[in-house]
Amino acid sequence: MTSNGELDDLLARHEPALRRLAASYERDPALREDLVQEMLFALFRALPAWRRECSERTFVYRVANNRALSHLASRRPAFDDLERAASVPDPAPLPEAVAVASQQHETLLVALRRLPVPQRQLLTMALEDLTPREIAEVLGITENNVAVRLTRARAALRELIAVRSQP
Amino acid sequence: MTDTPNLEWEHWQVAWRSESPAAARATSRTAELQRRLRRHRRLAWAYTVLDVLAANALFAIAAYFAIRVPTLPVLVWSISVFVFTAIALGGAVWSRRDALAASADSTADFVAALRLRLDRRERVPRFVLRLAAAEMVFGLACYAIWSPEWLGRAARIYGAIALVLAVWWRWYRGRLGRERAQLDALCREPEPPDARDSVS
Repeated sequence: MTSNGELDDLLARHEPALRRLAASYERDPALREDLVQEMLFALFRALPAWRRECSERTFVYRVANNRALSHLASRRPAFDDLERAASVPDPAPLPEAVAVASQQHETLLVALRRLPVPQRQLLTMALEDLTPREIAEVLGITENNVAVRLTRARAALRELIAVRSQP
Repeated sequence: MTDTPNLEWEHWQVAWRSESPAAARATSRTAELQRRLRRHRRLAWAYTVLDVLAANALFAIAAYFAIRVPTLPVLVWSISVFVFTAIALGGAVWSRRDALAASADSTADFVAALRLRLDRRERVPRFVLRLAAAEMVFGLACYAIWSPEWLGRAARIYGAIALVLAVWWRWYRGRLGRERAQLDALCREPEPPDARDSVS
């Protein structure tokens, strides 16, 4: 994992997923791009220490999620957002502007951003087709725990999307 | 999105992958990242060199006074400057060791490390402040025994320093408390629906 070609391949392989992941953490396009760059840089710095004791995807998502957590923790003005994100999903209707842009992607993304961070992490990785084992390795929890939490997270997401879909 | 759980999930997955902002951008960025890493490392080294230079300047000042005015209070002061500077320098270099690596730990381990770091950021200055308080008490005792005429002046200077340190400590602990609350809020697992129902 030392040649530039290999590094380029790895970054290119995972960049789209990292961009989607960053979008679930950051609404502002400029900050989102910053976050993507920070994730790629963190990945680049962490690569030399990777001993292949876990799968490539596990490694990439560990680094990216840790970087995203640091990003959220360092966002001072967003403290209220964090409090809200940590609480039970907000049942209030989503913003009107979003309702007008009725794309499913945007609806899903907005709903995801309203979920508490632990649920958001679970769902984004499951949406990227990571196996329960990989998710468990990324989060440092058991596979059983992943299954239980994922069921709850899906219910919370369903609830948010249903609220969004109500006239 | 409400057909069956599996169909619903497939809908979500399609929606999730339907758009990835600017994902199609060409990605030959290793060279760019390497340049950034070199800048990052140079900056980390520059800070370390500055720390060492500042520490050496303090060592030199303390040594100068210890040689020029070899009285007990000055020697105590010089030794305390040496000790505190050495502790501060060690702490600064130690805390910068993570600057060159990014965490590939699991989220749980990463959060535990963040909490541990917050604890250390509180414990280290607390230890240094206790040392400073002990040094002040010892210094005042020395003045009281050997230079009573300087005791009043030393007490005022130590009092002023103690006041500044107390204000700073209060502000610093408040800041750490806010960071801790922020981390807790980020990592808090939502209560299971049953628990929520029983509360309400």
